[in-house]
Amino acid sequence: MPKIQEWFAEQWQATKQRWLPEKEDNSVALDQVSRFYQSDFYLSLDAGLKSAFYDGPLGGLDSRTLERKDLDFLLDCCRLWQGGRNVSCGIYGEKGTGLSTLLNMFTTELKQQDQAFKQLNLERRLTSEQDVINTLALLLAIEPKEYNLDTFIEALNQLPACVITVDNIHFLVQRTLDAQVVVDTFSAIILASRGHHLWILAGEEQAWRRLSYGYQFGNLFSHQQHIANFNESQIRDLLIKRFSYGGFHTINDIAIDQLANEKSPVNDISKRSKGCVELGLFYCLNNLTYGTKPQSIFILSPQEIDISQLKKLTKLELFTLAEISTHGQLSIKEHHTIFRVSLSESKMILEHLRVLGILDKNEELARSDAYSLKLIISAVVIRNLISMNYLY
Amino acid sequence: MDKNVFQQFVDLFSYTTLASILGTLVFTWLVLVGIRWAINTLVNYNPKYRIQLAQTFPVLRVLLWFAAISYIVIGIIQPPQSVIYASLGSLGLALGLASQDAAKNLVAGIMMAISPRFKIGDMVQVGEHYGEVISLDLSTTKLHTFDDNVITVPNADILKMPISNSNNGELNEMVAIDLHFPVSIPVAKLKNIALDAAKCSYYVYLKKPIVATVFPVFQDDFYYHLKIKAYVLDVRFEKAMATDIAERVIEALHDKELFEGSLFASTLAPAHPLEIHPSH
Repeated sequence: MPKIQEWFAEQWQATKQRWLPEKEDNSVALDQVSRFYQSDFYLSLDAGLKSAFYDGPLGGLDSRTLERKDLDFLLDCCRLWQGGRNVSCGIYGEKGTGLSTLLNMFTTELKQQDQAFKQLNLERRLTSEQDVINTLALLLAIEPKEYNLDTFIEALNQLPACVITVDNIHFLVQRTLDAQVVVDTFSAIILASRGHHLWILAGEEQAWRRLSYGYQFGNLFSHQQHIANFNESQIRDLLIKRFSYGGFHTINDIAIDQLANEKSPVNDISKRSKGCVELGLFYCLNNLTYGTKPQSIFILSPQEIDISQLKKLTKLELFTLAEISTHGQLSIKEHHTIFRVSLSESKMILEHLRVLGILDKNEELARSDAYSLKLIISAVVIRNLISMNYLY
Repeated sequence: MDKNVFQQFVDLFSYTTLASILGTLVFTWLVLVGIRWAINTLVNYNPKYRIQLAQTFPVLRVLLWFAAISYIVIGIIQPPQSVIYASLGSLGLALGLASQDAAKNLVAGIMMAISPRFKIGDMVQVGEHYGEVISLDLSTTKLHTFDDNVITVPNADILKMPISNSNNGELNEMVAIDLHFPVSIPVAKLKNIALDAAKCSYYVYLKKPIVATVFPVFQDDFYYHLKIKAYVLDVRFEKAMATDIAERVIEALHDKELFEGSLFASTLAPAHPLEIHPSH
């Protein structure tokens, strides 16, 4: 039976090749997306366009946190705490959603209210109980001395009441035997000082899920909020604003103020971006041609991203991506510890994923061997890892 | 068979009728090939739902063949009642005498398609064989074992045997890992290390609980029996997860200098020193 099926498949392929011409490949490779900003095409674009489509927030033009309700959520929590309620809250969202921006906006509001606050930014993985205590003591500027958990909590509770925001909570995630102690210490500190201080923790969604599933991290918080990514209309508005900022008044012969209502590629791009602004910006730039009239531009229909490279990865590489998306980033040594492979094999796997354009090497940090998902394709990669059952 | 009935039976099969029957059979087969291709494509697109998607094929196959045969008999051959009764009688006798086992397997296959005891993708124990169900045909079921063997089991046997299904349509399943250690290791530390080691394994499905139990056992000497129960992310990683956790526990005990040398208290090892099995 299999032979008949093989024969049938061969005949079918031969017939197809003979009578049905190959369709033009309309997809864009994953590495073409991730390396777009280094491509010759991008470099050849005019400066106005490049600055309008800058891959980050454009100051007053578009804040990455468009939703006022997220800021209101934090301010409401703060009001409850000021009213004497025992409150602590957590916010989480996809990579690039704008959690740090939201925290900055929140602390700006606190400044205006003359509310004392401390802003902590975890920058490395915490590895033991003492490490958690020392790091928090340093970041909170508590008098430097030898603390244990009890004395540290005592010292923390003697500080004047304030709001403490902690960003990059993904540095609490780890696959080591000490992970439980680290999370337990952090949790104990928050629980013991909750009420006196208002703790607000922010982290990427996958890290948050891992901490909640493995260590019941979610139980620490009286309030939790998922910070949603941009929706279709928000991305469309953002792109239109960017075109306008770049000085382009007609897109595909449609006046810019009519773009939202007309059937245009901008609407298509908003739909395909699935909440990822970086992807929206890429689709716009990758598919544009200059119009004949001054300040006009044409955008072709966006292409699908080809994820076949992702499907061809080995089991270990897929697990590596899953762990990177929960850990936020992984160094070669961390990879070696998690996967129990040699350091050279860890290096090879991470470098292979970097060469494919899936990972970024964080050169600017002191820990130059830390690899993280490329922001522009992180949402695509995470969605596929979930569908392949490597993430949950 | 009466001569008249036999003549009527032969008259039913003109060249046109035979061609139509052949055409219907080929068409049905092609439709089934198409459905299988579509299901495989969907599974490739969304592997997370591979079990749910794969389970539809055996049912569709039975339904389609039933529809095709009904169409051939009622729509193409259109036999008079006397021929139907005579054919059914002969068919029954032939099935009863010549192909008793095959008929049993076929009937069992149809019963299993209508009321499935397991699905394609499930990890099942059938008799002494344990593996992933890779095919549910009308007469046999195929299992892919961890030794990379394909075991073919007649469906009639499956209906007779008790079946233990480890995941029952879900991708995750509980796996129990049994390890034995000398009593010199402090119990609380052993248990904590076991729990932490399980959480370290990237195969573990952390959404479901991890349990570790320790109890003393006597076999020539006292030793601790450590049982770790954790859910594996995907049934296909069952053995990999069990080995990974066992290695991590042993390494951690060595790193913390809690024991050295043999895993066992005495030189006589227990009958099954490292047992890995899904919990049923």
